[in-house]
Amino acid sequence: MANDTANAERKGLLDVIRTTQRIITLDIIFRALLGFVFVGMIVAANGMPKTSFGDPSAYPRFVGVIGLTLWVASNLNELVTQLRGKQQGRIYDITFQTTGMSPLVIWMRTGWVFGIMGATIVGVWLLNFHLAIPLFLISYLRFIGKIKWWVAILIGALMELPIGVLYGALIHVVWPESVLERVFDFSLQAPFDYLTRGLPF
Amino acid sequence: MGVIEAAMAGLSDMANPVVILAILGGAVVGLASGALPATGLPGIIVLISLAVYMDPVVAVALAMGMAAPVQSSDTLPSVLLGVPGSVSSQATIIDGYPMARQGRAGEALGAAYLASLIGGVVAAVLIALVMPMARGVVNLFASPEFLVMALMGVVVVAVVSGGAMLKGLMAATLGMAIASVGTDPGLGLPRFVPDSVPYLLGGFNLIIVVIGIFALPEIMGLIIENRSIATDVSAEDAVRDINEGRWEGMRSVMRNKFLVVRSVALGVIVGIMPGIGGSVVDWLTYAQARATEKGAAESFGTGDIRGVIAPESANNATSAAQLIPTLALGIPGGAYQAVYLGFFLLLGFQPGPRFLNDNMDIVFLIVFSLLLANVFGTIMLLFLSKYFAKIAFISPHVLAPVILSILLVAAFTSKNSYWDLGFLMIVSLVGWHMKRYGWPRPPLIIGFVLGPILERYLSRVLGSYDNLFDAFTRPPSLIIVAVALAIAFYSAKLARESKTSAALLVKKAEAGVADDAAPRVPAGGA
Repeated sequence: MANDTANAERKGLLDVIRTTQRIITLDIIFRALLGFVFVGMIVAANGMPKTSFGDPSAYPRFVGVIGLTLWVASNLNELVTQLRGKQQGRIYDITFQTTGMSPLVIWMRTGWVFGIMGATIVGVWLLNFHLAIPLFLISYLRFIGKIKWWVAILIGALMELPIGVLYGALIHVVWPESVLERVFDFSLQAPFDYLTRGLPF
Repeated sequence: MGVIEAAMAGLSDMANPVVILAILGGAVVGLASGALPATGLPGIIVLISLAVYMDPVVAVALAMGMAAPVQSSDTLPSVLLGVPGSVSSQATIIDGYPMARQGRAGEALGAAYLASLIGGVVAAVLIALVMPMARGVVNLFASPEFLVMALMGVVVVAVVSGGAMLKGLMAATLGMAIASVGTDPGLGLPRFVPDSVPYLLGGFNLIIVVIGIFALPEIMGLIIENRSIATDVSAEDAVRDINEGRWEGMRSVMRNKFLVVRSVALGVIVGIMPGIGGSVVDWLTYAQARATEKGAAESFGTGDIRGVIAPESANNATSAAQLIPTLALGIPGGAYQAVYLGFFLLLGFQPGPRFLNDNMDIVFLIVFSLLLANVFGTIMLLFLSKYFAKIAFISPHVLAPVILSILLVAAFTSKNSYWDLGFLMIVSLVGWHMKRYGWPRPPLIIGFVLGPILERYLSRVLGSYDNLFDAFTRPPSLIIVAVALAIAFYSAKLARESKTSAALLVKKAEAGVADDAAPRVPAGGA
């Protein structure tokens, strides 16, 4: 009896979640954020100083008012389209859309991609680009790409060419000091600078 | 600077071996990018992140070297695999893919390469002819006209964003809003910058915005789809006939010279009009060839070489012609041109009247670079197609992490700060959402690039006029508005027509070949 009640409650909760998901989609949240941005621009513009040298509020107000007007029109249009059951028109984008996949799979893989990107960025902070990027590449290529160890290591090592030589030594991008370099007081870029010092660039 | 003087200066820049090497290097990257769907823009962005550190002349040569041959190598996957290399090579599939299945891949590719070369060369020459004349016209404009033109540029691109006009306009406005973050250009006061994030005082960097909105979502798409674009055939089978009949294909182009002339002319016209560009021109030229060529109504869709020649002549011409409004007016015709406009701004050039008055030599450098890159690209494709074609067979799980790594490094170089990477994650979330939920992304980039230009002219106009209405109702401004509206309506009409043609033609092509061999014409483009 208690189990039946618990199951019914769980089912009711799931129904509520599903209904909420149908109504509050990610796109609705995105639209709400856009509205917030445009209103915020107008409000902030009203608080900006206006001098005889210039009016810094003119552009934000201009963009905010246009944006808010379009936001209202777009949401009304979306509502009418939904109520009439019409399909949205296709867009001309630079590329093509992911088709034929379940939303759950897309979600899981999206989370996975952002997860590995975030982990790589943390790796860069800890180890510097010189180590974090090749390590990321080697592990991805070996464990997800399923390619041979030596090929993965070779590609990872080759990545040092753009990082250390091209960006680091030739166009002098200053890589930030990583936690590892700070602790052990050394620079991973130094060998590349040393090896390329005679080049005429 | 006089026109002859500028042309000679441009030519003398080409005598520098580093410039020639840059064009050659750019062309190789461009060819590789075109052969692999979804990597065109990431490739350009990585090049731009490098180019901003170079001598501007070498940087321009590198970027143009890459821009020119992309539209030539994107034919490889279209013909060999029935998958478009880019949105402007979709119509080529309809006849190119059946030709490949009949063992005539080399003939189709030979014709496509020569047609592309002709289109690219004609459009480059046209740039050289039009720019000096445009200088005279553009010099007549004042701040109100430039304000109206920048606004109309955003509006036209957004209006032709397919079936999502309001979304396109809103995306453009979001781009303009992102551009307002940073320091107010008039008084130097911080604007929308939290005290804890001084990184934002310089505003968002173009490289971060373009990588986040376009490049990373494309790479994420590759990982998420998790399949090589070449799924049905092996690399060996696909490239078996690639070198057979190339010269016969090129002779076919010469036999159909009037079709080439018509297609190039249409490509140039579409390129000059902001907004529509590559995603439409191949269908338009294909449809006009089908309607005007003898016997085409029956033979198109079954492997008629004229169905390859028409779109391929036009798409290269369009791509080069789109540089005309970008350089002369500072109004980009599409996402790629917005990136190029931003690139010129990063190099310190200001496309528009000042660019035409002070940097006419750079205009000629662009023309010569495009010419040379088109020739380099065609020669390389004629002899190395086999190798470029094999790029399409690389697994996304090998390709994606390599591109992702290079993009992360390129993103960091924009301001050399960890904030670069943090904001890249946020912007790429927005880009992925827009891609996933059908928000047009090109208007956002155009709004972002045009934002500071709009602000500058808005401030000047408000300083000289009592209200915007007075500025907008000046006769030249009214003419610009009328022309822009006419272009918007005409572009929307062309886009609608091309969509109808595309649907009909794809249906016919799918009916003409066996189910397992049907070309994979994508959802987004047509």
